[in-house]
Amino acid sequence: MRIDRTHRSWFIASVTILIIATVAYIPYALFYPGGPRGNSLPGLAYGVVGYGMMLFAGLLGARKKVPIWRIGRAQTWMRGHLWLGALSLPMILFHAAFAARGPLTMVMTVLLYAVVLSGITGAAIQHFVPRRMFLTAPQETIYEEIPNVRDQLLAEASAIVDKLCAEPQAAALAASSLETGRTTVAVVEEADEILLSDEERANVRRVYVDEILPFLRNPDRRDSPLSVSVEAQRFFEALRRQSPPAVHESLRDLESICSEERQLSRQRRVYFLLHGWLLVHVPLSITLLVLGGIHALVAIRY
Amino acid sequence: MSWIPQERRVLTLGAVMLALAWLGVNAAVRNQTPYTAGALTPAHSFVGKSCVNCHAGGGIGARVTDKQCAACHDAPVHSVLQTATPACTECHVEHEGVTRLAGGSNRSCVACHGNLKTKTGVLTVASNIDSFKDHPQFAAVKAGADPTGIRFSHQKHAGELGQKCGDCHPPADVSQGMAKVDPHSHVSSRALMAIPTYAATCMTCHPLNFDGKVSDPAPHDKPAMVHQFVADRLTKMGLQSKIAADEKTLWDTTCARCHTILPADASGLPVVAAAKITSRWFSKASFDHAAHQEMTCVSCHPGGMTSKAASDILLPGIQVCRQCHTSAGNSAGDTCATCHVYHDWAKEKGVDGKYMIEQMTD
Repeated sequence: MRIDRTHRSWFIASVTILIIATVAYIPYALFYPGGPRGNSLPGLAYGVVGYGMMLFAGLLGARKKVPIWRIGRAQTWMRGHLWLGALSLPMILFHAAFAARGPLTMVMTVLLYAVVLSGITGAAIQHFVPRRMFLTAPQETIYEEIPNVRDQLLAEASAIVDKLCAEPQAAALAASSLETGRTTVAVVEEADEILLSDEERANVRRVYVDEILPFLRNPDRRDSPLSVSVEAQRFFEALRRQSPPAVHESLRDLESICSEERQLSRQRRVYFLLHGWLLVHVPLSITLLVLGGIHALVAIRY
Repeated sequence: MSWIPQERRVLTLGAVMLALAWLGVNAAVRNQTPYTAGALTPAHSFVGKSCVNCHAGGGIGARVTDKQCAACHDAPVHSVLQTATPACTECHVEHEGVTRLAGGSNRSCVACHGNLKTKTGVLTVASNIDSFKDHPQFAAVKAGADPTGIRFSHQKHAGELGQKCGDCHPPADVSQGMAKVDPHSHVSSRALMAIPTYAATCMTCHPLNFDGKVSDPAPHDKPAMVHQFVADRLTKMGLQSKIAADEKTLWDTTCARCHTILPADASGLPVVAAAKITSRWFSKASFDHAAHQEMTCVSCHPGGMTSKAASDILLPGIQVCRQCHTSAGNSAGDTCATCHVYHDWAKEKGVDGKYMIEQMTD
């Protein structure tokens, strides 16, 4: 989610709450008999408000799990998650009077910092990275469809090479099928007559098997020249120089397939960047909520 | 390929289970330490495994009750004139690790002494002290004169003759009853200076000789005893005729050098005004000379080298204390508890203990 002008009201409300809480905290910290503590009435008030904000932020996960819930717009939940989640940190610090002396409170404080920091990191990533991805991977694909698209690209490339390397007297149709591991994709195309010498056919097949096919099968490997745009361009230009003009169109198709593979790899990396921080944020958030609940129950008892 | 949600679930479950396992293991061994609001002071740490040892009753925001404290501690009242008595926990804040639990923060004191009211409406101390900065001058300094009644020149002894302060003022051993110091305070047993006595500090240079033919000096005692001694010695030597003249010289010159000699009473002997040497200047506070031993005496008592009259107050004023005792972080501290004690320990009654060891440690 981009943090733009639409967040203005949330920003103003959050800053206002923070100022009020801070102004109230100063006399409380200076003059409250025995000093500010979590179990004083003002301390408890800060704790309840802070934990309430954390719970609200945590409910975003539940809201996502059940998207048919029509309790507010998803964007409103997301904005509330961002701003109230961030605001819970000062509230809890006021609650604890900027101290964490017990083992449980110490663990929760560390978790709270980790959750808020990972959240801020995630918000920054979500703010900046999608625009960059739009520029670097314009052919964005639905993430879950990437394996299928890759299978199709591989089959398409194999079909092109089969067509180039087909014997002249072969049937009018060239067919190829490829076992890709997940699914079998059959590509059938009408064959045009391309006349290559035996040596040229062998050369195309060799280049495909040695260089292009390994890259297409594992496009995330970085040791292939085809994994870098400039090197791939040089690779195909050299290949075209060694080949008759009749096959240049097919080679350009292969180059395009490799380019699309690189974009998919880039998209996949961006996806991990966009969502990888959640591997820290979500587990720690839920652990914090659970421990916070236990802490509250024990506080009620004592 | 899309492994993040699955891994996230595994990590979430793992993290929550780990946290619950930690609490569960502690619960299994009946250890409630993880829930503590902070480390207990060493004095209380041995009862810290179970919250209910102190937090009986419980409830949101509930503090440990005075009754719970009184089960182990007798804490006499501060003053019979106070209009309200704060709860023990308002001043003695636990769960803050190794702190001096006995010394509450200034705010506990200021809660009353910032705008002091008494049951009778009569105030014997300042009514509006918010910090050490507001503390009035020490009462002894304000009194203006030392009531000692002795004639003595510090300038003569320390300034001209070069005697050291410790020659006459050794630290007092309060265990020998020289001066009573609050037994619950942090003040050391060598906090106060011993009262200079004639036998210990004066006799060597000022023997009470009364006649050139008698080598034994008169005793430093009541006039009747002195008269008896002088009369006996002179009579034994056949010098009865000198008794009156020698005694007059003794009273008017030797004794009067230090003491005020009052007119004779019915016995015909002069009356020597009692010396009122103060052993403890701060009646409502504690001061520890041992805690200040790294400094020279004159840094706090400059008059010790220049004073010509024993009536001079050589006690340093509060402005001297404020040179080191400020609210700055690197100062010697300026909390009320540095000098004052809340409870009136003279009224201590003791505690009738009722716990068994198992109850305290289980």
